[in-house]
Amino acid sequence: MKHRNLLFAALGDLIRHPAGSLAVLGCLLTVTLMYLISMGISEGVRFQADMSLDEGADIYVSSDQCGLSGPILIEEMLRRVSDFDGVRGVARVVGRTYFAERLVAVVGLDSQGLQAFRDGHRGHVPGATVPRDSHWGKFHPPRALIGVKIGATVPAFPALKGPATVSRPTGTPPLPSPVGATENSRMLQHREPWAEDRAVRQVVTSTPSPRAPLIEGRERQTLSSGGRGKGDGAGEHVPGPMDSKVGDRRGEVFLGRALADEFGVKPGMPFTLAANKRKLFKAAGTLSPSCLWSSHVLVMHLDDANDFFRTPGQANHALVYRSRSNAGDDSAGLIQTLKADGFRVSDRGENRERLRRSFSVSGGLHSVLLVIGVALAFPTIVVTCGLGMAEQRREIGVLRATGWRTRDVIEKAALGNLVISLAAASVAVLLAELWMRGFNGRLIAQFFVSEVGIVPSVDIPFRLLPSHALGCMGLALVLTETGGIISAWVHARTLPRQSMS
Amino acid sequence: MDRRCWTLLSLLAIAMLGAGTGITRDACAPHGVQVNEMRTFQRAVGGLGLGAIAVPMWQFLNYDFRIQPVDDSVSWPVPGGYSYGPDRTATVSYFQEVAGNEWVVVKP
Amino acid sequence: MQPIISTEDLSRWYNAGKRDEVRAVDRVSLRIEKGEWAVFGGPSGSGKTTLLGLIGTLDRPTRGKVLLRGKDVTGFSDVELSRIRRTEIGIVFQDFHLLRGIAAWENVAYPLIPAGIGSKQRYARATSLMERLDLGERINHSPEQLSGGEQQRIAIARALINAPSILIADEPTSNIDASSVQALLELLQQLQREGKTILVSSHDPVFKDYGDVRFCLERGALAEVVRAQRSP
Repeated sequence: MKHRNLLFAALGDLIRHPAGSLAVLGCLLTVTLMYLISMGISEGVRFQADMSLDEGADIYVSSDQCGLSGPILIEEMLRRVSDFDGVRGVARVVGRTYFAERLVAVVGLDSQGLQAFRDGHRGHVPGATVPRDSHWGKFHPPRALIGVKIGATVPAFPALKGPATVSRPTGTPPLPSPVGATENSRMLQHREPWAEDRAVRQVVTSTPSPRAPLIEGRERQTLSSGGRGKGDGAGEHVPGPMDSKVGDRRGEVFLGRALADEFGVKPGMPFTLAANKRKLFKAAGTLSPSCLWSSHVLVMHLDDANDFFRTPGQANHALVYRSRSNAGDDSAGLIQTLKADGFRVSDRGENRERLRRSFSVSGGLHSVLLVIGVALAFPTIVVTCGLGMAEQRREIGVLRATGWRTRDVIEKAALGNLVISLAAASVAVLLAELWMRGFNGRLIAQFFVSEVGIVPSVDIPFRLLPSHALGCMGLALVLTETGGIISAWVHARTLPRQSMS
Repeated sequence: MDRRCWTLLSLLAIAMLGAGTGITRDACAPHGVQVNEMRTFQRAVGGLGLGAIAVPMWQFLNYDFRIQPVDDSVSWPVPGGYSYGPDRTATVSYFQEVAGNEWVVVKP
Repeated sequence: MQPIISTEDLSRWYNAGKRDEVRAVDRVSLRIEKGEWAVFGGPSGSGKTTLLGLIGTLDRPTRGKVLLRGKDVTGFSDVELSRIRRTEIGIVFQDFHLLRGIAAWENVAYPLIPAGIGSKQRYARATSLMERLDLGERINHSPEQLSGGEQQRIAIARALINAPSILIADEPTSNIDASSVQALLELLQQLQREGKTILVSSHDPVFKDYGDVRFCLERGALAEVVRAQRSP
């Protein structure tokens, strides 16, 4: 009964001093909300990173170029990989360029990889629930991974998300209706002096017309036929085993949702990029914004990527997949051989260990928590410690004079702080959920995830765990108890007459 | 006062219940991780992205160390010898460089 | 017969040994019998409040002793002093020191909280005491809504809630009007009749005709002790 009485006395104190209680609650909320959002985003990113590792290749091979990862020769590397049992290599190009003024990652995949995109976006993803081996057969990773039935009829851009209308980017002058291709083009060039460097913007802001000549002198028809323009400088295409069945997807590009939304890119819309204006692309669809790294990405055919980067026959990596059903694969031998030949080789286990360390408190979270700790926690302690100090001191003096013991006073203060900490932690969880779910981390996500902007166009990874809530509670308790109990103890230890004076 | 205390306790209980529900829901179905779509994307591209950054700004290390395992932004020296990679700060991940080809020094 | 309160060479000096040393109470020795009404008089700054604070265990002396029922309490621990204040002594402060924002009855019952007494029982005890002090209509009012006299009676009720044997009132008439003073005096008389020992500090001449013993202080020292003749 005594503890219940003290709890209610503490609650009464919180009610009696609403301004002070709200100020402390506000300070605590600021700290705990930051903490929760950082932890939640960290957990969300880690979750996605884990999946990236799980679903990625087993082994990544690249050359060593003066200490950096360098390109590999596709044909040679795939041949070397094929010399080993139970493994299969797939080439991949990853680079970066600018889509208008937005930095993007460019990923070049073989035909199966692109096919996987098309089919995966139909909604049903058998590969997500069916064990990988059941689809694999003879190691055709990208296609088999998502369980595509070879030769199935795939509707054009089945469920790909494209903007309903073509939107004009902010700051771009209004554009006329596409009356005539030549006229349109001339007007664009006339109105926009930066047209040469902002080819993408020009294209995406104009409504596509079957007869509209595009910038750089190419015509849509050229792309629609699926062929490649003259003088494209196509690199050597290394055909995958299923290429002939899946069909040629060259020239097609899947765009990240952020790009598509920002520049109003519709499926079927052609465009070029400033880094290599000779290379013409066609938007094949936009990617779901569910994955952090799919927001600002251009996924294209391996050959297109080679054309674009002018690296024919080369790739950044050989992605090596192991057969899981074949326990006797020779991946260890492959790794050993490639390492001996000076290649950079990393396997999944190694990458996982590195990833594990990279999200720890000593890793990236350290800086975040440091910011929270120094920038926010200290003032909070000062507030909890000092707010209404004179009043608190006087009241504690009165309590002591009327027979309260020091420990009673401290228990009451501790219970009050416990209540306010519980309230702060609970409200912080609710606010964090609301902010991240309802508003997708607007304004705040950019502090924890780089390059997502003030209004993120990709779903910000966010996942709260019970441990985060407990940590939040602990943080709130430490902050309040540090300030509250110490000051209560100091005042309670003071002689009542001094406290009341 | 007792009635107001009970009201406060009730509000606190509701807030805690809401928070518990949110966390349980998160643990079961994390926001922003529509697992199937994500898995499809990652399978198709062979694994892309590991760090808390949406684009490979400055360098690939923090974006995905499988692509470039070293911090190549050292080519932008900053007085004091600090390797300036803006995307390596204030995010929830930090990928350190690790030795790729370890040297084994054997004493004669 | 053992006095209920006595002091021996009791002193309270501030900044002792320094140039600005203040001897608020200086070598005071006195004795008060059980059931007596003691009045501490003297001009402002003579040390009345400090002396009552020392006797009420709100302060620790620089030197000397305070004996309650013959026991020296100056060396008592903090916990023991709290117990004495909870069970033996009730104190009414000059400024009342009521807690704002809570009802009058809650103020009265606040000392019962750490004793583990339930809310209903606290309410019953507080209201009963308040009705006795003619505060029955002010039970749920907050201190801000009460007059000075009512606030003082609330403070007295709070001091009496633990049924102490000693009641200390510091300048009880300084913050109330004349009509309340008479009521207060009658209340104190009644409490004395019930067997409580009453210590009052005041420079108000109204106390001239009240009390069994009068201690006059001057510059912290005991200047005069006047003991009234008890009626047979």
